[in-house]
Amino acid sequence: MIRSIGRSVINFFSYIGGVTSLFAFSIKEIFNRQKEGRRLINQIITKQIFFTGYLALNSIGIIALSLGLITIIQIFGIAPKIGAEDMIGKILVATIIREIGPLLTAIILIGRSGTAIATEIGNMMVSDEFDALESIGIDPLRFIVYPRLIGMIISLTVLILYFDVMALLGGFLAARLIGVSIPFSTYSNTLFSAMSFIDIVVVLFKSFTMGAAIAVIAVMHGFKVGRSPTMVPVAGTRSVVNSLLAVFLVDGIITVFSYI
Amino acid sequence: MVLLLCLVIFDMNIEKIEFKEACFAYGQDSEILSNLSLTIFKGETIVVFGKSGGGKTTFLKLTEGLIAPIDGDVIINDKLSLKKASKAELMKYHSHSAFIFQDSGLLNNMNAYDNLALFLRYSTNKKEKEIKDIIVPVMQELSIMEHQNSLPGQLSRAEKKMISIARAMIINPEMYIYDFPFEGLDYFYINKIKNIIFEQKKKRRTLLISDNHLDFALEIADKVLVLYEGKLLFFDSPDKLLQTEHPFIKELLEHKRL
Repeated sequence: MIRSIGRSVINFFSYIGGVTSLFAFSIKEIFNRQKEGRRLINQIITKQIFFTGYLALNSIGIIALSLGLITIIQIFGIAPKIGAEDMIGKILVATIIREIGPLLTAIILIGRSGTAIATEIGNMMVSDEFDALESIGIDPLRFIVYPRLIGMIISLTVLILYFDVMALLGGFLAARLIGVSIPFSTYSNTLFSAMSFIDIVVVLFKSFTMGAAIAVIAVMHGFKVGRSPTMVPVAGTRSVVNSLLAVFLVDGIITVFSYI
Repeated sequence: MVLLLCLVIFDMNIEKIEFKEACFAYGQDSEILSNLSLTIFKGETIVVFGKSGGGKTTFLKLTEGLIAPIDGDVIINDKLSLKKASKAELMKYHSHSAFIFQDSGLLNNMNAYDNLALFLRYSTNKKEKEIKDIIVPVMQELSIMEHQNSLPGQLSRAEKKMISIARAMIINPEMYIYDFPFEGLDYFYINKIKNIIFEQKKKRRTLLISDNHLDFALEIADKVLVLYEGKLLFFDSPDKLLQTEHPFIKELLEHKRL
């Protein structure tokens, strides 16, 4: 019993250690002045942004639009009844921009790209691709891990912004179509006057930490595949579960600290 | 200063690789290799034998520096410890040697040409035209031009192996390490690869080859290395191998006659 608990604790800390060192490596790499391979690495980052960010625009757009529509109709329906019209802007900023936007976008990216990264790296491990890269003098961490982490952070940041715009703007337009009548200038003034600098900082911080967490956890599970092909789907599912846990945890911690 | 030291180390050729009581184990399993001590000199051709799972690939990976010994060390030119080497030192060392993997080790999301161009695009400032001028002659020499746009998944085992060899040749290394180069290939490709290896030997490249074909070893090897139960059983010339009385080696020789 005690041995089993001890082993779980060791596994947990070695997992956290692995995730942290991968993250630290990637951050260090941002400031690396080494020119070797830089052009190729930048191309991979661009590709990663294309797959993670650009190709997710449709699904995130539709989800943001639907969610914006539901939220705005509900708020504009309920707020006047409880005399909270003045709070509409604050509620929208707090729910959509600060909470739902980052969280839902992160969840979509976990499903779309986190699993893709974990299984891709898992397959690379199985087919000796990491060793092959190393054998020709290419650092796999620099060539494979770093571009995926940077691509994920940039994509998540842009997609959160896109989600927020689509949810607020698209939701407003959709609400107008079904008869909720409020002038756009009033709506936008309400929103902008409710938004503060700290809201923007919180969203950016969330996108950075969540993006890093999703990428690093996916990479970590990809590495754990080792030489066994049957571990590839396991890496995909474990990466999803652990990324979800991390994202909710990060979201909760940042939200709590932002109100202290 | 450190950079200068690195340059001094790597401006030299790989003259000598010395295994000093090197041990290796995967995870907490029993040791795959234990107390391996031997020296490989520049230009030598060494063929490695042993039972399946007997540590041949592990030995080759230790030589290439893809894995580090858990005990003992592998020392290059009396200076660089592969156990203690920094990542930068290891990467430089790798670019002086080439490992041809049993399963080719090609990057599956790149076509054959991009696989071949990868090293040059990453490690040099050459323009695409210059890269092409290096790659095309190698592809022509190995008769693999027709596969340049194919992804590894679209190629046969033998074709992938040829591209893997081409990738190694493009690096133009001092040392080639072949992990079972003939495994699963037909007579035509075996001959083709044998000829490539003979050419590399003529150019005085250091060659390490794991194999099950004793005939080939007797034909090409300067030294034969036999691993048995994780230990070095024999490391000497093919002539001396023929005179050895150890039952495992006798069995190997018997198998050759069959």
